[in-house]
Amino acid sequence: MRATALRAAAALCAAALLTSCAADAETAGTYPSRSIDYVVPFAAGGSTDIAARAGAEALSDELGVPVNVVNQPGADQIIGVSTVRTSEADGYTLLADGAGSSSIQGLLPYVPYDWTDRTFVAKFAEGPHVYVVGGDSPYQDFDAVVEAARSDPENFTVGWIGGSSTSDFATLQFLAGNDIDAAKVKRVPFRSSGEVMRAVAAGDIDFGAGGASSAFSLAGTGKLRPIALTGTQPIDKLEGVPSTAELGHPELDMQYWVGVSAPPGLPRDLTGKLADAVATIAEDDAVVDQLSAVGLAPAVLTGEELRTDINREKDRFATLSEQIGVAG
Amino acid sequence: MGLSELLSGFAEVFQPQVLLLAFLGCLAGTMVGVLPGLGPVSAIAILFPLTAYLGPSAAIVVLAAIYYGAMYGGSTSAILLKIPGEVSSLPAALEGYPMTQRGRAGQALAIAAGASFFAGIVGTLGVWLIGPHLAGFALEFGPPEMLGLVLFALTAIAGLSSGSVVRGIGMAVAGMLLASVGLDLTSSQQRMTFGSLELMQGLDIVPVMIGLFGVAEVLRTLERGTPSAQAAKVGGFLPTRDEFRRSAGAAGRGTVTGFLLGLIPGMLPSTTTFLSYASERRRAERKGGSRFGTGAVEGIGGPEAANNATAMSGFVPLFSLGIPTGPTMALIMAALMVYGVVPGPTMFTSDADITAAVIASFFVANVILLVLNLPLAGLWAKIANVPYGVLGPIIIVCCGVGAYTARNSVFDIVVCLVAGVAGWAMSKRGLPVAPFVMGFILGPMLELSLRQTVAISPASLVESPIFLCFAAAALVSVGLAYRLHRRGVEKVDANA
Repeated sequence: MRATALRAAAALCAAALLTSCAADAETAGTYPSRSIDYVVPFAAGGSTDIAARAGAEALSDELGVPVNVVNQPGADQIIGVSTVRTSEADGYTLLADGAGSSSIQGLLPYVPYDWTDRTFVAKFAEGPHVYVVGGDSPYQDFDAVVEAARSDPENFTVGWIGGSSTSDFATLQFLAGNDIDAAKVKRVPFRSSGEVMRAVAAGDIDFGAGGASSAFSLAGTGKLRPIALTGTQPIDKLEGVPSTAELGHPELDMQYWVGVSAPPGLPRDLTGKLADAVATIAEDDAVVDQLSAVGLAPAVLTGEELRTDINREKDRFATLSEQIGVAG
Repeated sequence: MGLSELLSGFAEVFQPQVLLLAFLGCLAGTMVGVLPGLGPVSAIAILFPLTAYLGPSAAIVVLAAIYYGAMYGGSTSAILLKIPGEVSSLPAALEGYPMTQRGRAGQALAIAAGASFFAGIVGTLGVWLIGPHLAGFALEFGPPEMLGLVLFALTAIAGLSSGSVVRGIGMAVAGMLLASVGLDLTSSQQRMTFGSLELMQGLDIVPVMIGLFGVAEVLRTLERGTPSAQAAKVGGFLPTRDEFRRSAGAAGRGTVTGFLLGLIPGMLPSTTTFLSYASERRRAERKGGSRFGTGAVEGIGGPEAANNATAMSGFVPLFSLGIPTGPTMALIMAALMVYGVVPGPTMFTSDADITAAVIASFFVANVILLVLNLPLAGLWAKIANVPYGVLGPIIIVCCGVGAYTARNSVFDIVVCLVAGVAGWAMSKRGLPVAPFVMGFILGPMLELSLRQTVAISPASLVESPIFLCFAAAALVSVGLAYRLHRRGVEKVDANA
């Protein structure tokens, strides 16, 4: 009698355990059933934040649950990434990923985790960098700046945002691609590419690089002269600015991107469903408009292809940073 | 932009739904700001996502309304409970709370609201009329000029330290040291992080300040046992003729300096507020009979006006050059960009309709806030009469929320509590907290501008007239402080 009771109790416990497991491991059929946190590792207001908010709004329509943007800035994006990495791999905590929170972290000695240990779901947007000089600068085009910097690198000042952003790598690529001695060039510290643009426009420094949108306002005043956009695509709001490909420098192609990543071990079917949703919204008209407002365009890459791409990006960054003798 | 454009801007704002949005923004901002420990930073963080569903001009009208509402509200909790929600309402706490204790809370609230209103209106006029001409100022102010300004601002610390100047300087240095925790900007070296991930992101001023004032004030009240706030009487809110005269002068000075300094990128209202407070205090001490520290109306009117004027003039570099002067301006810029409006010269030409609507809405928001706050002053003042057994826990919870929302970080709640205990210990030892906060804010600015200047060319210091002016002003300021100090010592000797 007692044995039966015990067995029944054990069976009940097992059943309870099973159901709770079933509740935990959601399938692509039922996911998502509640709101999703989309962690942006930057303060609100930057171009990654704007792109992420546009993506989040469209994703929430696509998936039928609220997608909430949570800004967690600080410590070279380590804080935001770390929050997502240590969350449950259930698809309800996602990261607004980008080079600054992935491949560049592969170069930073103080990142306390393995940067590749995450689920790369999809990238949905990408955009070029812009190279700028002052409106009153003696060098008014690409070749003139290169010439001046090459002949006297010690007196060539460039903006620098701590070495943990693609803008800095765009600068390094500019120096390396044009045989300018990057170790001799003076790197002047700033907190954001917006501040770099102000300093270039004011004539405080000679040269700067930033995401295309960082130059939109000042370029309109004539105080800032954009000399090239990295890659091949023109940007509407920077009309008439040549691409590096047009200038005969296709190797200067540094892009920055925004995507969706998840904690390591996100179940395959959930990853697939999310990647499909992200790919769909990237072509959404409203999203395309909002992306182009900050100089970005849809660019979808998912799964292993994305992982390979980011790994390749990391290797390029590593080669570039060797020039200045420090990682990052 | 002429008068006709501005009038069509008013026509835009006087549509019922825009007026309603502006009113709701003011109300929501004020409500969040009134909560002890919550200020504009929290209000914007909490309410920003809601503005994403509005059109460009409506979104900016609401954002601005929330921002100003939270500033008005933040001063309210500073005056009534000595708990500022942000650094710029600190002077209101230092001078307004003693007034509350003397039963003149209503007058303190009215002076704060009046000064904010005055600066808001004058600032809006400034943005409209002289804004486009002053835009270039943001480009004149490079690293050497910033360095000069920061050096000058640091001398104001002497004016903030009641009693020993050495203690004030010591606290400012402590503030600078704590502000340097985290990753170094250029080399990404870790500073005082002890290998901790949380410390790597550095300490944010918001949780630190909420702890030093909010949590510490609760601890002090618990220790006293008989909460003084309970004894406070609300009183009327009409200031005496003398109070009006003294605060109006201070508000005028605060408005002018706040507006001009606010044109500089990186110049936050917190800094200009402190400068105004320090200069009003020194002015009063030079004249003799200073009531600073015990409820001086100049210490409320001047800084409150400087605060709002700076917040207004931040729109000048934003609208004309697309240069945001601080985090709130960066958010407003983002809201513009999302709608395809690129801040820049076109704001006053092809996008003049949006700009006119925004400027008109500033006028309207300021009027709404005054109308909202003067009658409500009495209601808010009753907060001080809530039994402390109820109020204390609410304050602690609000402080936690305020600390958390700055960066969505649980660690910041811990920082806030630790800062609370530290603030309590500081007041036991008679260490002034205001210079600490000042050091915390100015330290990183000093470091950055110094390193930029050195990297560009140290020689640019002597070539910059603005830097030389500031350097001279800093020396004069130190000299005056020394003389004032000597005179004080002699007076004490004579009395003894």
